[in-house]
Amino acid sequence: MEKYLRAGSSFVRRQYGPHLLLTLLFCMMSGFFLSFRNLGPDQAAKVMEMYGAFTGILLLTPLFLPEQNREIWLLKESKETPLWKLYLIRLFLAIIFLAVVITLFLQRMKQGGSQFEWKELWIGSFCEIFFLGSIGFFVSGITNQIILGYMTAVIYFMVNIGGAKYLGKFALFQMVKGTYDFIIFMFPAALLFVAGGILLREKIYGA
Amino acid sequence: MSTKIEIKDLSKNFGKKQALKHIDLEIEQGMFGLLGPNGAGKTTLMKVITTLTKKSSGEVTLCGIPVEQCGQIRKIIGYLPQDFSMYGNMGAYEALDYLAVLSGMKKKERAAKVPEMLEKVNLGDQHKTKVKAMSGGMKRRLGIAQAIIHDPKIIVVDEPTAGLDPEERVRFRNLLCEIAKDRIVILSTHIVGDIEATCENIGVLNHGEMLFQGKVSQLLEQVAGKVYTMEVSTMELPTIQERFLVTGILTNGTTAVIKIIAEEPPMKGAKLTGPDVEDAYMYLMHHQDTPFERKG
Amino acid sequence: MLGTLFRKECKQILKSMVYYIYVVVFVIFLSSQLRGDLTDHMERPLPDQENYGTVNSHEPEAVMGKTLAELVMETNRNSYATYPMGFYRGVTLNEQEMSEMISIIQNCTGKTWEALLEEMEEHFLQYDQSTIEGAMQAQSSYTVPVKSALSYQEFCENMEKVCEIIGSGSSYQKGSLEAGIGVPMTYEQAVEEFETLCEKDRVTGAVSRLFSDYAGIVLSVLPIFLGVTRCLRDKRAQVSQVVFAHEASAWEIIGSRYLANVFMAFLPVLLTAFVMQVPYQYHARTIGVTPDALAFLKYNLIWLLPEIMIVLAVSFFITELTENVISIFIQVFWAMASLMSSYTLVGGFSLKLILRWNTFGATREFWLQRQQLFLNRMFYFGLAVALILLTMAVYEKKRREGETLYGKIFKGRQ
Repeated sequence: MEKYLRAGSSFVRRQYGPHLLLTLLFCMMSGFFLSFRNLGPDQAAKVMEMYGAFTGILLLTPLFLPEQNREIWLLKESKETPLWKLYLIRLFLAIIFLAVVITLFLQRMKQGGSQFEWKELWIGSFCEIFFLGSIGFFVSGITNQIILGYMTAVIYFMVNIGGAKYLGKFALFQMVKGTYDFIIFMFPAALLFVAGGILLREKIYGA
Repeated sequence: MSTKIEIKDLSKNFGKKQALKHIDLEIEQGMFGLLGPNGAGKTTLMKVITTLTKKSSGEVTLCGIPVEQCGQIRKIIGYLPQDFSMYGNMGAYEALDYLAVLSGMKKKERAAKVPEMLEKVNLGDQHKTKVKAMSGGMKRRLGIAQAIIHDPKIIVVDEPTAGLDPEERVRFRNLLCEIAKDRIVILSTHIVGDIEATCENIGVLNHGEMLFQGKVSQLLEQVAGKVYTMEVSTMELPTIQERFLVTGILTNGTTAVIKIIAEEPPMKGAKLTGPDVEDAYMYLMHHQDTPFERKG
Repeated sequence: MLGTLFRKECKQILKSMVYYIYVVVFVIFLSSQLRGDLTDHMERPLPDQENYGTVNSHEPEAVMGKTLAELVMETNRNSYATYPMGFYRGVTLNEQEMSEMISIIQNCTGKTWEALLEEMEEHFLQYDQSTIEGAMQAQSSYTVPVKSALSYQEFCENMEKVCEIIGSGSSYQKGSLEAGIGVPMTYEQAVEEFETLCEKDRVTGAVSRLFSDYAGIVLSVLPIFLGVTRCLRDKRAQVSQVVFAHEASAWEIIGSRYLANVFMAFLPVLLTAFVMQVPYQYHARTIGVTPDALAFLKYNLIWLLPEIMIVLAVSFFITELTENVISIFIQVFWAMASLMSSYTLVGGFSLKLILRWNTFGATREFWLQRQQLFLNRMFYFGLAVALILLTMAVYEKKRREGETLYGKIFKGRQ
């Protein structure tokens, strides 16, 4: 257990730190751009879907960063702890941060007197943001290029602005319209992306 | 314009840490070995010479050009950094050609020189091999090719043999010697064997200070009459190592033949022997901190 | 040296996956947006048509009616779009503020709030709301007339009160009111519009303008990835030190990389634009107009090239400075903000990164705003050049000193 804790904290200190800082900054700046006061359910959803969604990309895409350098990768592979376990630890960390961020956003809106169903919006936001992030995670995992991960996730987000209708249950921005049935499709898909990212990565680049 | 590097009272600070302390050094044509342990300041000195870092004080001139004139300096130097690499998706030819362009070579020149250099470093058959598929040795050879392709007067090679297998190491040293015929090659390393095999002139750096500079023979003179060999029981080894500076141990069953550096014969049965560069280096390193006999 | 390096950089770009994604996404986006046939808009208007589209008007009556219509709709949703710093900020009111707002509206219209809502509902029922076309038509034709006793002066005073409640940067501000408002065209206006289209745009100009409108959206984001990839490549491949020690100047190194990326990013844009306007060259001839064969080139060079340049320049600058991917977030955010902040999809260029002209034609209005567009793009062109010069300075500093200020702070963390 201690081993895993150490691996996690080393990752945060050495690679993840700036990304967390950026996420924090992103959340703190939201007040300049968004209003958290007196929102209705759809407007609250909009805050999470249009703005909050980026935290998924920010938090989940850079998780393979340390191993982007091939030599470090080989070094780590020779160590006792298998890489997939390291990935899972990082993912777990990222998901905790994500949950905190979502809670903070919702809390802030509640304090501003907004009306929405807490549990529904929390779960919906989590699914959607996690899903968007898992796309970045998947692509950066299988290509070993973080930038491609960011690019795909950002493009997916943009496609949804104009072409959500082609994406069916996997379209973003559904909560704005009051639809929440996407959760049962999107959450498994996100899990699939995450698992696929790790497995395929091991398969493609593993020794 | 003579082929010469002159360094006067050079210091370099990183914040409070002094990486180079008042270095005075003159390097003439031929191979010059810069020896020192890891963290001695070798790379910093190389970087000052190659314009990659600014000096804090002192004077450095290369072939009469002060190091501040970066543009002029870069024309006359070739640099092989410690961890040389190139864009992974480039082939050997492509990579070398790219770097030749950065050295300001014209198309015609490159067309003649690139294949010639690849041939010289034994990559002629592998001119299409991608950098990402190259072994450490191949990369290093490509590195030396890029450092000499524009025919610079001064070549700086930082730890070029680290991570190479013995055969590759020997081949690499020979290549360097060949290149050094009509120019200055500065070879920085912490591997004594590299220097011994190639350099006539050397400098020894530790903690940012120049401990020695001169010919290899002069360095050897410093320990002449101080190196002893003797046969001891392996049981005694730990105590001996605590008391003396041991530079070599060859165990054979329960006994071991050891090499000791000492001002006087360390014990009965010790025979004087001829020193090698490694002995001299060890002597120099330990002489700096403590007397040659270690504190028990 | 610059030329050779430029060619080598282009070759490198051709080997990068990011570039192919760039091309594919660009082409797919543009072909999906410009799929519809535009030739319908190129018919001379006939007398008795039901609808001639809209035109920008500065008539007080029209401005007031349209502004009030928007106010009624926003108040009904209790969501007001404001752009205090150029970024979209939705404002929602509490009950007390809401009742103040309703009393302002009632004061302007002389009608009760309930009556107004009823009228609005009736109006929107006349259109098929499930299609974008229908929804847009419903919106564009919806107006709420002011009461006859209200002067333009009084109306403006009322709008000032509105601004006090919802904050600055809304479409009820003076500047926004002065920009005019879209109103349905009459037959005569439509004919005049059509003739300007034939004379000034010579058909292909209007096509290229619409192309530029869509292309501008994707080009605010896609080139970021090219820039960041290029600048991080040296770090990733560990070649910075080698390149630093060579003779080439920062101008040659950064210059060639930047120009190659601009060129390669612009090339597919130009080709797509060319291919997409070809059919309209023929169509122009069938309606008796000599098309402007080079319109696509002009629009691409003036409208889109500076955008590619500034997006790449910013990503080069930030990435060389910080040596990480932070530029992606800053720039995507900038692009989103620019996209969302356009309260009109036609014109109103000011200093927006993404210029919108989301309509076919409106040639007369465009010619009125053209100067603003030139100024905008000149500004970004200049800014791009300045940023690239700065990037070179940063590069040269790293070369001499080994690291940047940012690098010192975040040393060993990347």
